[in-house]
Amino acid sequence: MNTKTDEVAENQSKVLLDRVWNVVVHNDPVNLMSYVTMVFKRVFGYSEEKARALMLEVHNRGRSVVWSGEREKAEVYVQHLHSYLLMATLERAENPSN
Amino acid sequence: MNIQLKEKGILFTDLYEHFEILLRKLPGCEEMKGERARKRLYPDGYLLEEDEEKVKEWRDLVHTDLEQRFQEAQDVVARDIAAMRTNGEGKTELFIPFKHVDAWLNCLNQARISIAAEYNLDEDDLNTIDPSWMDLHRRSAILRVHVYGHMQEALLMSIGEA
Repeated sequence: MNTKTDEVAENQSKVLLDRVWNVVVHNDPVNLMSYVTMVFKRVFGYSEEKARALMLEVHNRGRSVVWSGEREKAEVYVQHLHSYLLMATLERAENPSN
Repeated sequence: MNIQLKEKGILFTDLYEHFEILLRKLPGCEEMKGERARKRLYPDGYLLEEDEEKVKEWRDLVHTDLEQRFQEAQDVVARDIAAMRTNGEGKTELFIPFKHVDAWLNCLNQARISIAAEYNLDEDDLNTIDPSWMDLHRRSAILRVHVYGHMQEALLMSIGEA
């Protein structure tokens, strides 16, 4: 049974989650693996290891959430990824309780 | 074709005639103007069109900015191509300064993505070992995607990214 405090905490986390947006990169058959890795390093400042792991996730699973955070910042990242011709979109982060 | 790293850039020497022809077609290649290509070059930021105003704003602002960036990259590449020269042995040379590498990577990608979009090429098409069953235009499109891709690889290696 939820207490009042639990309900408040749950509502607060829902509000916070509504403010979280994911930057999603989708697989495409054209972009080179080495190029995608380079772009992740440049755009997000990721290490070679992390950038490569994300690139492989995009390649193997068809998509990867490469960054999460405020909507405005996510928009800038997606725009930046588009300038490198990567397929990227913004998605509202899903509420894990749904 | 030979590739040499110089102090200020990369020198491509002994260019094959066919490769030279493909290079000259690179900036602003025909496919970039196609409807499917433009949709891929200028995608929407929001996959779910739940916020119509945001989608419109994206198209108005981001696409205009992208168009300008892509054109700038094409202009840099066009200048380098215009400066290609023939050496004493009658072989064509192309010099790409390191500061132009990003523009080249971008322009090559614009072309590869546009060609793939216009000819609806998927992963199987691009990985096919024997494309002889395809029509000539489709085979030629695959060849161009690969040739431009090899050049991208060479440029990425030259800047330590491959």
